[in-house]
Amino acid sequence: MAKESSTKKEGAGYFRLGPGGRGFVEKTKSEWGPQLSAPMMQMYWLCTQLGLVAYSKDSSVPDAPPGGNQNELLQIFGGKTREYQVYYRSFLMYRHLGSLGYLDFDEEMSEPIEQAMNAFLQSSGSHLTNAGMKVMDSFAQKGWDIIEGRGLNEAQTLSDFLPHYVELIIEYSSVDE
Amino acid sequence: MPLDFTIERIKWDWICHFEEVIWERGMNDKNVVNDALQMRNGTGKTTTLNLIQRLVTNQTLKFDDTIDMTSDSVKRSSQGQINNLLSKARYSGLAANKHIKRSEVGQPKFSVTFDVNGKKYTLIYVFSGDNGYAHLKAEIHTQTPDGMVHPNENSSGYSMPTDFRSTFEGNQEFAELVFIDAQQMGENANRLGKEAMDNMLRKMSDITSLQYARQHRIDDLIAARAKKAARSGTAQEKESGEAALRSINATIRKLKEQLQHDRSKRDTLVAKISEWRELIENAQEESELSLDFEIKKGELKEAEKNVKIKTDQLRDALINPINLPDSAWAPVVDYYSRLSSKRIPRTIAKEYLSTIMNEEVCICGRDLDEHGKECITQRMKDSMGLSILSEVYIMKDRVADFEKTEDIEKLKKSLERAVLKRDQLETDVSGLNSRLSTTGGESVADLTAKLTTAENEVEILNGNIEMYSSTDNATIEMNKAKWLRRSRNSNGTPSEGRGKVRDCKNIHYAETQIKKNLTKKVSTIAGIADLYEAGNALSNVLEHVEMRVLEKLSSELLLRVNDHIDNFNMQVGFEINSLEKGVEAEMPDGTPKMGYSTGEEMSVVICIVEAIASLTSTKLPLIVDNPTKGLGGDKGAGMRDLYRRIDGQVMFFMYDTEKEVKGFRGYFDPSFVNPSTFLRELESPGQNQAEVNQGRFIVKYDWDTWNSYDTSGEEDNHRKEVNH
Repeated sequence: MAKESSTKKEGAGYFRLGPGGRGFVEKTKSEWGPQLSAPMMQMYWLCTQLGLVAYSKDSSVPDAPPGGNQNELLQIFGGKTREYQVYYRSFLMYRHLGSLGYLDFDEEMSEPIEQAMNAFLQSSGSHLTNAGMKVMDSFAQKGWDIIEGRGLNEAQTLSDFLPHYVELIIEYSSVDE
Repeated sequence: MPLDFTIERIKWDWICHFEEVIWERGMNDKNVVNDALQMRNGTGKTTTLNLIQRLVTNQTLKFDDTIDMTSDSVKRSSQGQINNLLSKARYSGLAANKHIKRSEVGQPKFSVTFDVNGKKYTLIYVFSGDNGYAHLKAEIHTQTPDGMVHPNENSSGYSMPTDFRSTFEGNQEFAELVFIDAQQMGENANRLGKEAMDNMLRKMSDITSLQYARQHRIDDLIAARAKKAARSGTAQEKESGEAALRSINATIRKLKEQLQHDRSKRDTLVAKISEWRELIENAQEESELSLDFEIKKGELKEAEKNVKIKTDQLRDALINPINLPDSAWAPVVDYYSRLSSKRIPRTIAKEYLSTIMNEEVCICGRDLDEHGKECITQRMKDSMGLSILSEVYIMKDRVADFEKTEDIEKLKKSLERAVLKRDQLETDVSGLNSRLSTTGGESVADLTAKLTTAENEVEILNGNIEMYSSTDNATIEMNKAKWLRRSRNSNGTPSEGRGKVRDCKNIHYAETQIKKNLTKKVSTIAGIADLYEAGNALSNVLEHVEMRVLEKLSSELLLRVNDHIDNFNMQVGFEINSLEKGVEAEMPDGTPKMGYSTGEEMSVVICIVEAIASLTSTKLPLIVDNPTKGLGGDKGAGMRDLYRRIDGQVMFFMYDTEKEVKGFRGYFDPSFVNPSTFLRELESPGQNQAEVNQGRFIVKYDWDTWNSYDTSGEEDNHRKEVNH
């Protein structure tokens, strides 16, 4: 019997952020810290986070940005996002499993949940499979769509943008009565 | 033998405004090593300094009339500066005022005599050609102890001792540190920037030839060999590869030109910004609102700092999802808690099941039968690998053990308050500015608007410069969409198409990835892949040697520079912590120091020169043109004391009016400095030189002339050069 490899091997994917989000970081780049802190990835997470929070209101996600050089960021959680990547994956997988119908579960559902996890995670790089990264890209797009829809992309500085971003987080995380 | 040299004599023959003038060191007191040369504004101090810089570095000067000298960026380019120098060196003086005919002007020459380890050497620029406003050429001749050396068609007549040559030849950056134009000092600080320091250190460590071999020569040799070698690929492949190589070489050339252009443009803008800031500050300081300005600007600076701190705090808090409101994060925590309580995942790791299969013994200890094997095989198909299982367990563990670190609502409110306060102070300062005009008549409000536009433009240019010149692979990767576009394939490999490689905007990627890849391809087609690999291996070794040498030199120099800062007891308020990417300094609180005032830059430059001198066992003279620029009060006294502590010859080229700078006057003491005054033999105070022939330039070395010479208020008497 052949030994199963303990690591998954697939071609490395990229996190993707559309031109709007990228343009915003370019506009405000002096306020994000040095290049090594990966400003684009920070913005990517802020968009994803908003998308993940807002999902509780409408349970919908748009398509991820299309492939190609123009939208690629990194293949791993780089810069400041490296420290919190376990939480990012946790939040993302929670939403993903929920969208597959595994929000409420019992022991009987262990097998399909594990299969879903197996298809979502891998052991190297970003620790997300390409499919998992696409899910994250979709939530990032959702977050950006909200930002753009509310005109936050017009902010000229990060100090203008962030307070409004917090307001959106609070609004979308409020529990409906 | 350590290099020990002094400047003994300077001779001007029909150069600048000088007819035939000789200056000699120590004419007042041979035992005093320092000299101060005073002359009126516009005589030729800076031109003299620039000629000395280029003379010692063995630069033959040639005028290029194909470049556009009306463009600021061209003027600041290397050739632009040479054109300017040849123009300024052209004799004006009595001929410009038509007191003598142009045909009476003698052979223009400029020479400097050095005492190098006890022997006299004279470097001479001989000027030739004249287009009506500039000389066309300046060639170097040398009077050595063994006779004259003249230039020939293959080389200049530069013939200095080996130690002198290795210190100065081709090292313009170092010459600009030792022979300083203080008028160019201030927030620009190019001489302390990465490019200048890098070039200087490379030349000092003599590894420029290694860099050239690695970056150009090896590839050129391989490309030439490939041309001659037998082909193993198709003619089309060969043509395509060579065309792409030509394309990337042209692209690299264009990028380097664009980089130089943008750097020049940026430097021009930075200098203008510095000038405008000074005008604004002067207007504010000299107005009756000066106290209000001081208070408000101080508060505004604090407010801006506060906004930055609070923005960083909020951004950092938001990057951590644990700081989300409970209603957003608590369900995540709850979900993983439920997964744990239901023992999901409950799978056994694939690796463990594989081991059981190999040993053919079940976990219960029984030998595996066919049914058992089938069962385990099925489980393996459905199981996760150990690493994925670990990942999930880590996620469950970390999420369960969370604690909020920040309250994002509180941070948001704090930021909003800080922004409000800053905006109010900006309005207050704008209000004060709107009541002021500068000495030039322009309103401070208008000048501030110009300044903001220029600062934005500088930011864009800095972005472009980073794009062209970044050598950090992680940064290039992160910006690949903008910087590389189609020149990088989606699988990460460099493109090979002639059109696609032209998309590359980063020189480092073009040279180290695209060009190398194409060279490898062409050499494979040519059947010389082994030669290519050998060339590559050699390049890597050379690069390694360069890096090690530079690191060693940098760290040694840094130690000595900081030693000198301590020895000079300078109250500069910062520490130099790196020379690897230019001079990088930090404030006592650890924040990086951005920009230098004139006095600060001068202090750092002097310490670097002293450090280099001690590192290379060299005793160097220091020339400072306009030594009191930007000084006054405490600063003047501080610099005066700094200059007095320098061990070695110090020469000042200065305006007569600089003697009066507060705090600096104490420098001009007979025990410490020899005075020299340049004036026309028949010069009288208040006389108009344009109307009266005041005779030829002479030099006087006595203290009475030094102290009494005063041309303040006579600026109009020196008529500008007339082209004829």
